[in-house]
Amino acid sequence: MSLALTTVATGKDGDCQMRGREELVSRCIDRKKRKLGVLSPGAYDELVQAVKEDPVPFIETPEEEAFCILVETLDAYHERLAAAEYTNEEDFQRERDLRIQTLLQGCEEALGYDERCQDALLLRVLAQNPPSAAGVKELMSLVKKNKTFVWENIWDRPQLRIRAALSRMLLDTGRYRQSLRYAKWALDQEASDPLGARKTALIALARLEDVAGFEKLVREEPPESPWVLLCRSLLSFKLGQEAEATAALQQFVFRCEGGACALLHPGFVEVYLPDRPQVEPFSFEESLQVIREAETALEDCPDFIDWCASFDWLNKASDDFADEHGFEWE
Amino acid sequence: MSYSAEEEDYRRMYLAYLADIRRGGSEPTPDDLLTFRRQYSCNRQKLSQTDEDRAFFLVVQAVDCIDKKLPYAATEKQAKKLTKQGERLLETALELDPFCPDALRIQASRKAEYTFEFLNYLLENKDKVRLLTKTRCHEGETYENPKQESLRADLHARPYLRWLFACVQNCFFSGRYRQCLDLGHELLRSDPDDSLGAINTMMLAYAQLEDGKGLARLLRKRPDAVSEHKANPWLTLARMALAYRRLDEDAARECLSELLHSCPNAPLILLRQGELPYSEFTRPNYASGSEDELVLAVSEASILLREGQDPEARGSLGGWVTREIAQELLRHGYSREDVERAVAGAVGDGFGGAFGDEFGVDYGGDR
Repeated sequence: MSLALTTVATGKDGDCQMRGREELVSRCIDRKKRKLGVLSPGAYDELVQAVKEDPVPFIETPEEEAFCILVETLDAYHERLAAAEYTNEEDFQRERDLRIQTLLQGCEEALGYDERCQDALLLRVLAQNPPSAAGVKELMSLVKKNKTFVWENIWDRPQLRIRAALSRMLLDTGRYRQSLRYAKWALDQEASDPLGARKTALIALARLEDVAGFEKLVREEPPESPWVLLCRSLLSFKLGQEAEATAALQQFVFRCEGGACALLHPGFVEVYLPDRPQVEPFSFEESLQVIREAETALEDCPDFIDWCASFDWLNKASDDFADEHGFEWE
Repeated sequence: MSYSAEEEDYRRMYLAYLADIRRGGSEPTPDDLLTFRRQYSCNRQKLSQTDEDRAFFLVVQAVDCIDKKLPYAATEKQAKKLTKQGERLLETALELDPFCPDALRIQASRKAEYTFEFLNYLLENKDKVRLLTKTRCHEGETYENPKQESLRADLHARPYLRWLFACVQNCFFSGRYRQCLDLGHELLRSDPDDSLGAINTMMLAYAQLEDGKGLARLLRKRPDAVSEHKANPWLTLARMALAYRRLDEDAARECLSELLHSCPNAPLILLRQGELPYSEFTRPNYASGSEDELVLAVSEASILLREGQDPEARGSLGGWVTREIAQELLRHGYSREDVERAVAGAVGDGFGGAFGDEFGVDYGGDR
């Protein structure tokens, strides 16, 4: 495993899906607005401006205090992750342990202000639990079932993050229908799918050989996304449709940067805290994400990688990419 | 239940022996059976046989090397010797009968570097094998005695049924579950008695697709698969996996309990979750309700057990089963140290000889 790949796969410039600061601002605005009652459009705009410039004076409740600490903790974690450089495995492990410890301390501090801070609880579970049955149980204990949650409602976002994380962990622990169940809110309601739950669902549907479900969902994703292409190749292969599988594989290799390399030499991908990091579409980082998330499904079809490796053009693409980027493997 | 290779050879030779007597103008007597048995055990090559029969006997010997002796070879040298011996026997079989389906199939399996190569070969040629076996049956001498004629037809069909069963099994091991089920149904149409136990593999395939309804439909169509008196461990394992995957641990625990009480060594077998080497001839025979049956079922279900990440690296379901059995042992009064030792011992242990993994298609170990 090339250490160079570890930083590459974590997203660009410490970018993470959760726009913590934006959410903090929105939450403060919403609380203040409710407190003040009806506002004229002008007054509302002033409020928004003021909070955006500096949300801190508007943090008036323990819940927002907790959320603010959490946002700072997460930002610090991701900055540290993006800046990290290692020369050997030991350094990497040491720095990683320290980074996660610091994050957990931040979560505890946030929970000191608000013991029900959902995002802090979520981060605590994800940072301490590799994909496992125990991790699934912990995440399930955070799931609330009393209503429907929508992305537009800022207060619903923590629950949606929990469900997306649970959906991914269920996939990792081989419970595909349950994974689909928790990705459902994105499948049914949230066309924009800000947390990429559909990507998780595509993998689950390919693994379950659910052709109808897969084709229905694929219509809502960009047709040439690496998620669609890899899952289609896997699904077709499992169904014995070699021509279709080959066509999709070729597209995956030639449209997605380093796709072949990611397939044959999966790179380490850091745990998502809390969401899948934003990466450039079709980038090598995205290829690595796809392969990492499809890991359990790919292992269930052991021939697939062997079959991929039997193509000269795929091996060449992988070697060329590795040479270009100076990757080496033992 | 299907015949073992030796049992099948015995029956083929017996039918040929009877045909010989009739050709001589007489009717077989009980004494003839005794004479046959003596000749078969002391001097098999003197019995009347065709090249096809000779080829099949060579396959029997190859299977003895590859399936029975090779997994338990004590040294690498011995393993290499057995492998070469098996390969040579298959080559000689094909010199005598170039279309011997069993020899072709086993040779292809040994030569293929990857399962998908072997599977493609099986799928591309299954219809040819069917035609071949039908033609040979049609061209052979018929028997007036309906029992013997039925046996003759059955023996002719067996290589094709084994070929199709190999398709079913290899699709399952390769994670191609719908294909496995389609081929399983095809096999059941040709072999309604399901002598090879294709239904067992199909049950596990339904569990892998998390398709409880599909499994229920299969059981409704084949009520004979479910005995009132003896639980079928493949079915119980499939049900356990389905329950576990829908996060119903209570139901999964009930299934596990059923398995744990099925035979005296069940806890050890389920703790070990051993994976047997791939059996080239066909699934080995076992007595219903026996320990062998459970060992075989657990081995084939390793695909269900090993899937999904788990900190103990035994798979999501495999890890859960291990932890549940450990809890059960604690509840029965074993000390924590004893339980930890038992688990560590079982987890570290494996089946087969030291070099069993290197030879034959090991569908379990590397996954």
